[in-house]
Amino acid sequence: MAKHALVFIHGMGEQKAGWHAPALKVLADALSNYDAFEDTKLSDIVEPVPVLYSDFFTDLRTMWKNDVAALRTELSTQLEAADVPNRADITSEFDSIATSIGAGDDSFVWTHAMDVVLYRFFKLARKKVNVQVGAEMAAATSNKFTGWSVIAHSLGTAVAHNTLHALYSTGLDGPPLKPQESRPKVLAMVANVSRVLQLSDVKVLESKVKPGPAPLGRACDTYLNFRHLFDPFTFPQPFEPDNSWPPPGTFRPEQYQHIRPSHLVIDKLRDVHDLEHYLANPRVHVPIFRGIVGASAIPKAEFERACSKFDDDQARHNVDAIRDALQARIPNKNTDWKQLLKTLFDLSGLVKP
Amino acid sequence: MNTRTVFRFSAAILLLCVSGHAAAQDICAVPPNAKNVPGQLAKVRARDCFGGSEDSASLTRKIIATLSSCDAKTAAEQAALRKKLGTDSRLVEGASAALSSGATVDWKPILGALQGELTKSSAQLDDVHATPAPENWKWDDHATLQQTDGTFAVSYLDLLESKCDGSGSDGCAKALATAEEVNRFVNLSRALHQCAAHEHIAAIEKRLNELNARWDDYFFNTRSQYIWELLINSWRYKGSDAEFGEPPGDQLIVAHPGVTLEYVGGGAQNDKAYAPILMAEIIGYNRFKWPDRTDSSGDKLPSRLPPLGISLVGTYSPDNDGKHVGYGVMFHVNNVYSFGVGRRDTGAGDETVYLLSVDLMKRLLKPSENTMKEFRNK
Repeated sequence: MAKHALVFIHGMGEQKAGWHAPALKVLADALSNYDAFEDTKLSDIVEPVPVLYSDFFTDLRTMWKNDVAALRTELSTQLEAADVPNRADITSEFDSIATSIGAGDDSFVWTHAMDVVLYRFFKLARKKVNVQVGAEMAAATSNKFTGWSVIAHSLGTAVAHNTLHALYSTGLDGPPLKPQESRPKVLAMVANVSRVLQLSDVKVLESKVKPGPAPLGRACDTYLNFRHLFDPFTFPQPFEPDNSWPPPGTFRPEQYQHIRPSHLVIDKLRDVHDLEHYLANPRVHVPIFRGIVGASAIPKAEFERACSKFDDDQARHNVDAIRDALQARIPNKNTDWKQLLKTLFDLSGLVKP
Repeated sequence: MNTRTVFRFSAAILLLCVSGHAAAQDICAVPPNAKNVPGQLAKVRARDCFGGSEDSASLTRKIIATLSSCDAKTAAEQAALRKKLGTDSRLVEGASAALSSGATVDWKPILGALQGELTKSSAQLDDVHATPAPENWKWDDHATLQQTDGTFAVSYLDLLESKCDGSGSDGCAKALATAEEVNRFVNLSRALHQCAAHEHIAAIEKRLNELNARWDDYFFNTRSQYIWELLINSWRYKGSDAEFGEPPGDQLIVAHPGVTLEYVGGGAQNDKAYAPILMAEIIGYNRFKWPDRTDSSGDKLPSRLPPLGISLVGTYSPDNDGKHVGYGVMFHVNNVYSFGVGRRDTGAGDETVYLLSVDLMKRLLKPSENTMKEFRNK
């Protein structure tokens, strides 16, 4: 059975094959809650096409590590043979420099933040990533699928934007791909940072990546812009087009939606940025399902019920989590002053459990 | 196995077949008394029930059979394919005309608009120079063929909703049947256009994969770049971000530390003749793409020149007699083989020393396995 290809493009951080599985599960679980899909699984209508580009950054770091490891081995040997008195200090300094250039121990800065820096400020790295993602994305344009959509997250939103624009602008031994020939039905930009990372020659509000009719050359049918109210990553230079984008009179309101969820079902503060955390909210997954299948599949009343239930569950989850955390801190005996004092110190920190 | 067991086994198989058949039919069935007929219709469409693999309609089976191969490499094959697709499209046109003639008055304008689009579609498919447009035939819920003003040429949601209130009336059943036919025609047209677009799209995918392989070569099969070299070479790269591009054909080498072998005398085949030392390529240039050459008939051929490079180097060997620091020049061939000459005070005054990469030593001087093992173990 021909299905709709759903391309997943990840955000910053080292990812492995199958990285999309948790997000896919959130969508699959959510779909089964809607009446029209009682007898239909997500896998009956959608085939995931996960794109992996963080392996390129990992390979770069591995190359640097290997080069530096050979260097360090030789340096240690030479220092040892020459009996240099402060050789331990020298090798320690060497290790510190190696870490600072990404060739030493892995740290959050190098496995996550530097992906963003390398992509935005190192043109060669960016060009390579765009080509790699373009090649993987092109697999979804095959005529074995009935259509395709993209769910991009965080750094992946900038990658998806730049890659799509290049896909419709580059002639590779022939004319460039035209949106009438193939384009994503839904472009879901989750934790959209494409504007803060935009490039001088591909501005996000001027590029081909706009929703609307295919004959106008728009690179997607529906553009869903998700920015969580408390997701700090989406704050600098937010993607907030005014009423002139996309040009009025060329699209239906459903084709561009700016959605700002505010739910918090998190264990750690940074979870607010997670793809799965976004997708769990009906305000996020329902527009995606509607875009792929059709708005009538989840009518307005059912959508509103799903939102209410989600909000109630969210409140219950948070209350339960707080109760459990407090319960764990209450001493068994009211004379256990040590535990009681520890609890009081914990609470005064006002850290969410 | 006795007769009763055989009978029970056969009955079970039969039941499985029947239930399987029923299930296959069920996934595409939309009951007119469903609570949300448009929603159910959208869902079964997503399950490929109209004009797709789950559709048993004879028109669909006939057209799908001709779509088994969309490959068309040559101009003649492309012309033949487009002719075949045009013919198929006219079958859809014919079926649509038949539906229109028997349709109720409220469907007439919708089916009339569809008929007009199908006629245009057939002409478009016939014309090998016209760009196929499968995306124009995608559904936005129950509307399709979006025009440049954002409106849709074909849209029937209001009509379906007005007929289907959950009671399962005849009016709903008829509207539903017509809507299913419209879905079939639209999806078949999309499939025909997808087939016409296949060659171009497949070529783009192939080119992108080739281009990606060239970028992999640039990063991992040329001389390695540290992060500052990547920054400098990025700054030198002039390709626009608006398009995919070829990787650079050269690279600057800047402050690139490494390990090299210094020939310290004693005979080239002597394991002890080479000492590993630290070095830094202070500045260098490596080129791996050369202009094509032209043969006698004027055709372009790839250059015969291999990747070549040169670097100014400084060496450091605290374990040696004499001065620890030296300098010299290294040449790079094929990105992996490097050799050079340097000057260093070896304790017996300034002397010329010979430098070479491990790969080159392995290839040219064939040192013993023991030497290589020792070097790797260090």
